[in-house]
Amino acid sequence: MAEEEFRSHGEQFLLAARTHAECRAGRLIEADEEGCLIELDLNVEMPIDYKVDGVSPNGVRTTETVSVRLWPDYPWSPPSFYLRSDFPRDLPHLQPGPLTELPRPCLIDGNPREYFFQFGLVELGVFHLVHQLVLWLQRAAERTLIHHGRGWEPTLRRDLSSVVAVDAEACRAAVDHNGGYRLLKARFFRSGSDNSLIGRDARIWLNVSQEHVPLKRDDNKLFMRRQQNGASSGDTICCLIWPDKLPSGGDFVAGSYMPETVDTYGGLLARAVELHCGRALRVFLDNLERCFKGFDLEAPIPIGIILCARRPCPLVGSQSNIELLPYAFEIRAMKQRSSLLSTGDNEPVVPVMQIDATNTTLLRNVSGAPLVPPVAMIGCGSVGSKMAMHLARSGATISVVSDNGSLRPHNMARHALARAEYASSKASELAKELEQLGQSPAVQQGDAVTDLAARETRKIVLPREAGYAINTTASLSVREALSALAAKDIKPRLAEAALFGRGDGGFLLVEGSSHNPTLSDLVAELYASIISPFHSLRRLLR
Amino acid sequence: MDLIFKRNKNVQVFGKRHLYVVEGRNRATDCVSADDAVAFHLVIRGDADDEDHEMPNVAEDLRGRLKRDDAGRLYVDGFLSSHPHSDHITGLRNHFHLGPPREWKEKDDKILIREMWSSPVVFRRADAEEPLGDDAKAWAKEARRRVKLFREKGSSTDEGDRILILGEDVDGKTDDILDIVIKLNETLDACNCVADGAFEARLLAPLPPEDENDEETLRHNQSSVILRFSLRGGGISDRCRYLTGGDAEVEIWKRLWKSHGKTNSDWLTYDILMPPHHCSWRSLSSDRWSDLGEKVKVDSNARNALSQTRKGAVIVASCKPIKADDDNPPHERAKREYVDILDDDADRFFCTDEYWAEKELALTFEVKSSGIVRKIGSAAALAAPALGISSTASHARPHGSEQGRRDK
Repeated sequence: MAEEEFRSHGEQFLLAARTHAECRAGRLIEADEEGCLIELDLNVEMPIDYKVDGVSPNGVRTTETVSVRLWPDYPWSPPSFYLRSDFPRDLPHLQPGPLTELPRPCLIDGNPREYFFQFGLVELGVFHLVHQLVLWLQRAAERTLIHHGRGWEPTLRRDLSSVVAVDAEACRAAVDHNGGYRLLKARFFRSGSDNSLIGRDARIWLNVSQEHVPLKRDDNKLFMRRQQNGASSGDTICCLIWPDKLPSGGDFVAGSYMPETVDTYGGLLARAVELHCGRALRVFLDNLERCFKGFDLEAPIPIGIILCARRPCPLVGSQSNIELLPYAFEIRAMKQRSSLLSTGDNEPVVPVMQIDATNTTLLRNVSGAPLVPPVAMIGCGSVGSKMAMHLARSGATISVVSDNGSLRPHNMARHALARAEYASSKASELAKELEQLGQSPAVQQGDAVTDLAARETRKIVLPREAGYAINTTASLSVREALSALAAKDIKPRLAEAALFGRGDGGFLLVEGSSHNPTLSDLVAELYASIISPFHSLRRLLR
Repeated sequence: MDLIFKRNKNVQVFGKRHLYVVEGRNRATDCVSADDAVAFHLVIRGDADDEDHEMPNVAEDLRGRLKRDDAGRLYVDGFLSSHPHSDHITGLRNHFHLGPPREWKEKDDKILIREMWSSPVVFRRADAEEPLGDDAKAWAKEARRRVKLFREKGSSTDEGDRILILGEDVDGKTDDILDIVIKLNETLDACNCVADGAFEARLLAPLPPEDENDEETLRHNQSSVILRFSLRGGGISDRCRYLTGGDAEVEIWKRLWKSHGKTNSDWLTYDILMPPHHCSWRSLSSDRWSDLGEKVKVDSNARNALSQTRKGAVIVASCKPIKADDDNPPHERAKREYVDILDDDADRFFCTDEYWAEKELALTFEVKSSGIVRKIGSAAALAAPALGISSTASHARPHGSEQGRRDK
């Protein structure tokens, strides 16, 4: 885009921005092929007793000069707003970034481009963004960017390029009153060459499990690395750290908002100290150094760090007051090294975005489904596989999948899974699929009739922890075998589901308590009730 | 609570969330409110009801802010009349239901006044030279009806029948109804029988005569009700002090300072002052501008009474644009004095008409836990005059508010 075109965009922007009643002045600073830089002087309304001082107690001025950057693709992209370098940083709704960069306010709860576009006219989009900025500055001065009545708003992280997927609730559950840390097994994916630096041209993805791993010098599998297609992946660890208790014995509560400005290990350590997690971080790093003593691994290995900040009130949308603040840095076990962190306190650290690992709680919350006790699936065919997948997607735990059949090409017509011709058993394939949803069901591949007859295998097919066991085998013998069991031998409540009439009809029968009536009783009743020649289901049962 | 200042209508009414104050002739509307505040005062001029008139329609604005009760009636919790001059009470009969609440008619859809705040002395001091207008007479009649009802039923009167008497009447005429009388210098903290800590107001005037010859001095504007409100904001008591004095002139303010200056000057402190008598010079000095011009002197006692500012205090003149001309009030010299009271900070002095002309918005101050903040208006309201577009597709989505974030 020509410089003149940018200049024109800048002037149009200024015209629209100046129409806002709180915009006192504006000027075009520069326009070139990189875009356009503008400054706006905005009036910041604040309590009258602050205003008479010209500045709020936290340092927001009654007139704030804001820099606006129009990018080369403007107006197809929204303008970016930057505050002065010494603007107070201890505020929520500031985008994460190092202190060396100008602070950026987060103006929109959503996608800024969609917001910018929704007004139809570019001028209106500019006007509304300026208005959002004016409101943001006002709330910054009043320290009301967080509405504590709704809970503690977590530090902004959603636009970060590096990601950690972890079961947040499980991490929070690990936090106790004494302080400490826990090492969790993780898998990583790292983009970029070995020479690339995180935070610049390398991005990290960490999948953190809840499996605890000790740091052992003889554990050669703890840190593994494979390289392929210009990227690397492998095994590593993530250190979950929670705050030490106060000398008085009470909990340390981090009640003030801290901007996400960590970009070095020194900054991370300072942040950890602020959160009373510094001791554990130092201990962890010392142990890591000892673990690697005598070993070399030239390539960089990402390490995850999750600091747990105890907040004064529960987080928005959570019952917990523990906020997870995840970071990543890389160790390089060079031959001639003084430390795994090759540049010491200046070693780059990136804040990373935490997303929930796929688990039943997440799926239940998202789907809005009621809490269902664990379910044992007997039969993994077209009905069983679909029921199991839908139950799992709505957050129900599938405790066991039982089926002695193999998954064949003709099953693909109705089965929930799509597999190649050489797929293994239905039960094991379904279990594999369920693993993708954070489940780890037991697999029973024996004959259900004989398995139910034997006590040991019956305990696998009908586990004690299951609330329901659903027979989807469409097998008369399996139904009879289930119905013939003594009530004392059955912990879950039994149910049966089947489709018939090529899918035009179906039933779901659930036994009464204490195995009374049984599935056989219910099926008999079903047939008895539809035996009338006029009953519409009769036709389907022929 | 919000304090709202618009133009050209005269209203003072109390509601749960707003203290809406409109005073003056051809002036901007003034309105004050705080969370759960309990007061309103309103005067709506005849021309304010004219759809073609250039002034904003205060009646419509007020109706838009009010709630309806279980019977479907718009209502205000309280209605204060500072004095019965037509520029302070016109529009009463057009917009407010007068008479027993059971006679309220849906087709008229008038606003029910749950509790009147009225001063008998104010009405008594009206004289033949300036007789009461029809709206003022209607107010006085309604007040008499409610007082009579109180004498019959006592405190069991219902909403729409209640009245508070501001100041004792002469010759012991209110001695038998002291339960509804607020005596001079006393405070009240309930409106419509609800005392929830939302406000406290101290009655500073009308003043009693100092001697037999003093009645003449205290007529007309001098008999205005003066109240100093203390308003709760964001759950914090006394977050805002608002001093309103009707059209009281220099003699009253002088006496107030002499009475309270040494011992109770705090009673006159304010965060927001509405300069009396529409920024009139006569509230600050006994000297006549027309005779002395710039040689006039400000009465030091009156100035003291009107200059008890708290940190950052603002002054909101409910008047037309202030010019150095002979069309007074408002008076340009008075404005200079008020700006001087504000440490020469002209940004803290507001004229409601000038504000409206510039922003096409009611001047509104919100009283919050953090303090008193001027409201900047919604994006849609600001965009309309700025860009000539009457509506926009979106609501503002600020951070930190209840509505700011969508539930994920």
